[in-house]
Amino acid sequence: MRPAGILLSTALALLTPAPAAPGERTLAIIVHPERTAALGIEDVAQIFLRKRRFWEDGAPIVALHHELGTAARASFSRLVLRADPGHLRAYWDQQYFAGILPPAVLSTSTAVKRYVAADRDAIGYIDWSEVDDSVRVVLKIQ
Amino acid sequence: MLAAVVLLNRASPVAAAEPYPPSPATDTPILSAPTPAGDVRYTPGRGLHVGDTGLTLGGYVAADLTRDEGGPTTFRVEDQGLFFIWDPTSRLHFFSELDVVDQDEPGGPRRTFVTPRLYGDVAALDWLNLRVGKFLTPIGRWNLIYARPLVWTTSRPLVTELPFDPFTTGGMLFGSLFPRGGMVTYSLYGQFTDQFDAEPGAQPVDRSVGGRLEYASLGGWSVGGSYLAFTEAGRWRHLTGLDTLWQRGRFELMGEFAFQEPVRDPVGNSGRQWGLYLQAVQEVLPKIYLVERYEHFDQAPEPAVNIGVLGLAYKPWPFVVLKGEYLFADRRAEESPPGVKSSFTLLF
Repeated sequence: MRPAGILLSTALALLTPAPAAPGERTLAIIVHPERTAALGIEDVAQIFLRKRRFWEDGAPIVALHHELGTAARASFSRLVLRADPGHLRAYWDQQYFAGILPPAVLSTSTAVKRYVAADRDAIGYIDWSEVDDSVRVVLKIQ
Repeated sequence: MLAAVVLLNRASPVAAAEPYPPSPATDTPILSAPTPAGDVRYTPGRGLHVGDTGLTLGGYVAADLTRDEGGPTTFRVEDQGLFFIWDPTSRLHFFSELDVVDQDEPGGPRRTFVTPRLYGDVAALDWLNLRVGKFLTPIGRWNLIYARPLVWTTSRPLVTELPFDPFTTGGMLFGSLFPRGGMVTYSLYGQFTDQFDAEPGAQPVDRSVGGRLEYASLGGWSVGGSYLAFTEAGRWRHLTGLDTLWQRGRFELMGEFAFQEPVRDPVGNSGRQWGLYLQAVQEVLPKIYLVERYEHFDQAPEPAVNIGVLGLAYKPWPFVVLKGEYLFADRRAEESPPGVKSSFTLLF
């Protein structure tokens, strides 16, 4: 291919619009009530990409995902990770090649909330309407 | 292998019809069996998790069908790697990759194993980790993801392989810091023992010391710089590199540059190597990716070579990639000859 063709194809690629985001639900990022850390959305993204693996006090972070295909997981990927699904999949392929596996998955919001309420090192996300006093909300995402 | 792919396809549920679909449900185990050590689960492309032991077994395989210009059509299983991942605690991580290779010997080809990677990590904090063993030399990007299911082409840019030894046997300190909006990752490493390869690589080194610094933005771009000093035939040599990655929507641009200084000897400078590549990838149709790459590689005293690659990659499932490409060049480089190259790759 001529250089001009390559440049044209690249320009067309850049002009291709990104997929539109549908309406979102409000999520609560939750931790154990004794965990006082303040987290921003970037911190949460780094944690769930397993780039950040330790709390400030040195304890290992236990991140909890929802199952793929659930509305909570889809909203979390859009609002927090903000990555194209293909790029996200490629990222985890590369991590797997390095021996790093994705966060653990729990099947329900109730399970995530119970786990976080019981484990001082855990972090998870649930629908805002499911928040109660057993956990501490560190971030509201909508 | 084909039968396995067919079975996996039949086991895959239909993707949800939402405008921003989650990753296909292949992250969900297709096999799960209770055992005294916990559930044993197999997920395609994510390996076999052995209960609560922290052990995961996986790997990849690649088969190539190529026809280089002026040469015959060849088919061979080019890459087979087996992973052993063990995380006994949250601070300890062990990893090993065994590759099956064919060795040409006078009595005929013989299959044997090599160990591209074998190391243990101790994590103290996010910014302080220690790795000891044999690991991938952290120069650029391609070398850290060289497994065929992870890259977009059957061919490999020369600059990602020839100017340095892809593997280091020794120790590495590495970690990450998190300034606002991104992540800074560093690695400082050195080779202080002999490699345990049965077959030496393209440019084996005796001892080496190097470092890498990378900034990755959560906005989808990153830049990195690498430096490596190594001894070759008793002389210290130096290599510097720059690399970048930019992702936006379904488009990706990746590039690397590396320069290895020439050896200064009584008859003049020789052994200089430098090169670069720039690769663009776009998902043009669902699961179909257009790949374009330009490479330049200069290895004195040989004349420089300019290489272009135009190809397509098809991902029927996230863990399977079918690739086809045409590689053209202004000069035939033996390490990357022009021609048509295709491959089937599977991450398991």
